[in-house]
Amino acid sequence: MSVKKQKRQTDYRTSEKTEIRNCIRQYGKLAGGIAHDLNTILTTIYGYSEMALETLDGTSEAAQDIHKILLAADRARELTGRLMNLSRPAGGDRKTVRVSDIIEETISLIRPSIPHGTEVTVNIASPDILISADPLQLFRAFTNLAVNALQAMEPAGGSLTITLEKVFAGEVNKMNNGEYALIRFADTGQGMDKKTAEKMFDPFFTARSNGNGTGLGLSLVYDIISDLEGDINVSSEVNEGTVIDILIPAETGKFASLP
Amino acid sequence: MAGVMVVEDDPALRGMLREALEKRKYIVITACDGREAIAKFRPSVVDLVITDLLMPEEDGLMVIMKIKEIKPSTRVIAISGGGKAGPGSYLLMASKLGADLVFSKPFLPSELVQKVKEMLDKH
Repeated sequence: MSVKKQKRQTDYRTSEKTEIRNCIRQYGKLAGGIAHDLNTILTTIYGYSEMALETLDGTSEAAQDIHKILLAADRARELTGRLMNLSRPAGGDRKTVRVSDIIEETISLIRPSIPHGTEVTVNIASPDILISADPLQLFRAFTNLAVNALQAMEPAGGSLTITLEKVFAGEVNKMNNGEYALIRFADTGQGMDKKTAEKMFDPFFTARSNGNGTGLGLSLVYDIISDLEGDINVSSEVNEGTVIDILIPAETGKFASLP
Repeated sequence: MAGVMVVEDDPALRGMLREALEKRKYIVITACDGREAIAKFRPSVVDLVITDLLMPEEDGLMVIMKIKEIKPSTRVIAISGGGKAGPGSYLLMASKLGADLVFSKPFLPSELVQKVKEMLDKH
C-alpha cells in the first residue's frame, strides 16, 4: 500500500471516530435530559404508591398490585442510572492505576455469573503496567466487555480469555510513539458480521433480541477508552468468536510507585 | 404548625409532595420555579424549603442563596434528578451553598417526609 493511500485511510478512520465520539457525546446529553425527567416522574410514582399503601390492608390485592408497581419503578430507576452513566462528564477522577488490579476486580465481580460450561482464563504478561485513568470508569469498561463476551457465548458456553501485555507503538496499531497497555478480551461466542461490528459502539445499538440489552454498555466503553487517548480494535467472525483489543497509553517510569 | 415551601417545576411531583406533607399537618406553600419561590417566601411562615435545582426561571441554587440570605435559620433540602453534569455535581454545589440535606431523584418521599420531621423537630 502506498504511503499516501495509507495516510488517506488513516485520516478517514480518525475523522470517522471523531464523528462517532461527537455523536456519543450528543446522545449523552440527550440521555442526561431524559434521565432527569424520568427521575422526577419516578419520584411521583413512588410517592403516590407509598400514600396508597398507607390506606390499604397490606394483604389486599390492591396492595400487592402496588408493590408490583414499586418493583417496576425500581427497574426503571436502574435504567435511569445507566442513562446517567452515559451522560457523565468525560475524564473522571484520574490517577495512576495498575491495570492488572482492575482486571482482577473485574474477574471477582463476574465470577459468580460465569455460566456452567464457560471457562474464563486470565493471562497477565505485564503485571506491573500502569496507566493514568479513573479506576471506576476503567472497571466499568472492563466489566461491560467481559459481561458482553459471556452473553455472546450463551447458551452453549465457551471460553473467554483476558490478556494483558505491554506493547510499543507500531506493533499493533498506528498510535503515538510510546508504551501501551494492551488488554485483550477474546471469546469463542457467536461472533458478529461486519455490519454488526461496525455499529457495536453506537449508543442504543444492541444485537440482543431478548430485551436484555439497552445498547448503552459498549458505547460507554468507547467513550471511556477514547477519553484515555486509547483505541479499540475489534475482529470478529460469525460462529467463531470476537477479539476486542483495548490499547491505553502506559505511564512509563512508574513501575514501582504503587504498593 | 411548621411551614414548608416546595419549589418544583414538575406539577405532578409538586402536587404529590404537597399532599404527602399536608397529611403530616404541615402548612405547605408551593412554587413552580425560583422566581415564584422568592416572591412567595414569608420568613414568618416558612421554616423549611424543599427545592428542585434545575428549573426554568431562577434555579434552585439561587433559591438556596436568597433564602439563606433572607432567613439564615431556614432549613433547606435540595432535590435533583441530574442533568448534563449528573445529579452529584448539582447536589454538591447545593450543599456548598448551604443546603442542609440533599436527595437525588428518584427517592422515596416517605424518607424525605421523615427527614423534614426530624429537621423541624430539632428546630
